[in-house]
Amino acid sequence: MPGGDQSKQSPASDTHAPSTKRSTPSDVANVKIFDLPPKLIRLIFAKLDSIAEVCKLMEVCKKFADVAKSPELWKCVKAEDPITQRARDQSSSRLYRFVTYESRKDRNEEIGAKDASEALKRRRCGLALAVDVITSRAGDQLESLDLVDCYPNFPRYDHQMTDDDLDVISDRCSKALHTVRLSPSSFLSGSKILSFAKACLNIRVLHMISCPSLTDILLGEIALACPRLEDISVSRCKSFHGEGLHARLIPVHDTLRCLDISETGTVLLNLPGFMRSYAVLEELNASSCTDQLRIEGPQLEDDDFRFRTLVRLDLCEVDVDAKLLDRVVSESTHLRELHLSPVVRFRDMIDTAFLFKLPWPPLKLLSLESCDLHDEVWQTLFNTLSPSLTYLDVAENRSLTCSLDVKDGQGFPLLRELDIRRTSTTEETLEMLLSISPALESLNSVGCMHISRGVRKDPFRLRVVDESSNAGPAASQSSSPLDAAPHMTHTTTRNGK
Amino acid sequence: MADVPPSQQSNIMLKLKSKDGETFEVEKAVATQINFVKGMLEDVDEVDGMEIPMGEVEASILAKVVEFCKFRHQQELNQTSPDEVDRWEKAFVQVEKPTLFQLILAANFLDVQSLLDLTCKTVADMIKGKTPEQIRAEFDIENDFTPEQLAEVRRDNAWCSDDR
Repeated sequence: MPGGDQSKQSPASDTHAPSTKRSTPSDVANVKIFDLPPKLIRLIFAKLDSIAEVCKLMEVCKKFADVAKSPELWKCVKAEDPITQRARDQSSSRLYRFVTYESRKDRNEEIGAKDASEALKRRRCGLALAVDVITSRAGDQLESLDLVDCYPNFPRYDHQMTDDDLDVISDRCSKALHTVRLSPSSFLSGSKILSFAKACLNIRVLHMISCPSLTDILLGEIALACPRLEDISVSRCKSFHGEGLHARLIPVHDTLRCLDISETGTVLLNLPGFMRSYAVLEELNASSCTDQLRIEGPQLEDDDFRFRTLVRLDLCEVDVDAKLLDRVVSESTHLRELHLSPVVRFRDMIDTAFLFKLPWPPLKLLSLESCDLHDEVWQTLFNTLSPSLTYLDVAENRSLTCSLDVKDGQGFPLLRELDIRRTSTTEETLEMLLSISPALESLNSVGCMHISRGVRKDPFRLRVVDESSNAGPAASQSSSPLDAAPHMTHTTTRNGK
Repeated sequence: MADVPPSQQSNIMLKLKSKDGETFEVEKAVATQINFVKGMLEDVDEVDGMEIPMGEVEASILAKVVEFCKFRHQQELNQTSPDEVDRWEKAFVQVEKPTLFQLILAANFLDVQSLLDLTCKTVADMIKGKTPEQIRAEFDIENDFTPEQLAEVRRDNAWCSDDR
């Protein structure tokens, strides 16, 4: 036991007091943060989470200001403007990203300063100021620059990201820069994004979120110019239609780890093609495209699965054949996260009866919202995935009662979050679910008509009652002393779309 | 070396001597958590009971450093659970600020990376979420800016912080 060992062997407490020969106690007592050499103050600053905290320290005193400007502290910068910060603090994490403002395409003619003084003025506010300050402090040490939450589609056009800002970044920081996430802006031109990508020789991660000028052809040219790209996002780029996506990405086929084409205009995706060609693909997000995205492609042959690296697959609102999906999932042995919901917008359901026919990998996160899930499939899901799941969303499946045939030793040992909104779950079933899910922290039972209102509001009360009455044969196996205190029911924040 | 049971490792004892002349007798395996000591031992044949001067480090601080190294050593041997390590570390850094800064100086001089990380993180946690004014009060720092200079700094920071 380490604790006992220390108390025995620490001579300081008894021998220290008499042996203060030279140093007076006041000597020790007077050491302040100010007395530390700049290098050590920098190490302290390096432990702060955000660049905003570092900036704030510049207002404390001159010494702090000098230290806070060290390029070492500015290697990886995630900039966030004050308005977005407030939105993040006040609303749920799922909603704050929608703090985007009206697109200002109609005001395109206003970009470009009319004279030098105006150009200078532009440099002193909004995103241009952020880019100017960050790039001048970091210099060629800048490795990662995240501007996604920095004045995204800000209503005042002179606060948004422009081609000039891309020039400033590539002029000052192209050497070590490997990760760039551009700010959503209506003012970036395709040709400038391409020349920027070409200038940054080491670029591996490039996110061009909500960028109207990003087209299919441009993505192909970027991929050709940057064959080391590992992580591409064109999420929310409305001029992107994913035409010939597979062929355009061939230059990066052996490096691409993550691809995000969610909320674009993509209508067709050859998933089998991806399975066949991309050797190290870990994440694919094709959710919520404007028109429903359809997954097509030839039937998979056994030797098509050269890669099994996929970890995360998001196919929400995607029209996919259940048999194909079942096959893809069962072959992706590293898959841990699968999102298949919601498909409400299109009324096109995945026929869940065809799922779980093949053995599935031990998923941790699974969303099957409004998938017309039935009890039979639910039972299969439980039998296959219950040991590994930490997050499960089966909301909006109206005919699902969630009742289970639980064998001895079965349960959801790791499940932390469960969403059963608007299912036909009864109170008895809810009680059973609580009793087999000892790690559960959040349970959403809003809109379950068979559960009384009080319980819906606070489903964990069923667990408390169960504990105090100390009975219930169904719950005997896992109702260990649970801290019933944190009744976290994020009922209001989980509205999906 | 990892296979040797702890009882045999404790054969060689070293005496770490503080600036004010106090010595701390520790096992070699514990003392070599301190890179400063490790580097010194590379140049000489270690002898049982050898005395190693620890530069400017005071006894009270050296005692804390030794306590930390002993815990780290035990942790490696016993595979202490992360929760327990966390609790122990929290209790360990519950000290007066001057002691904490002295620990940072000592950890840097003696080259004990994990102690340096822990102590710097502790100070950083004290800084987090405070306004510049609160930071000055917390750490007894004088504001040596002229109003104009401060206004300029704030202008540069407008992209990441609210006007206060």
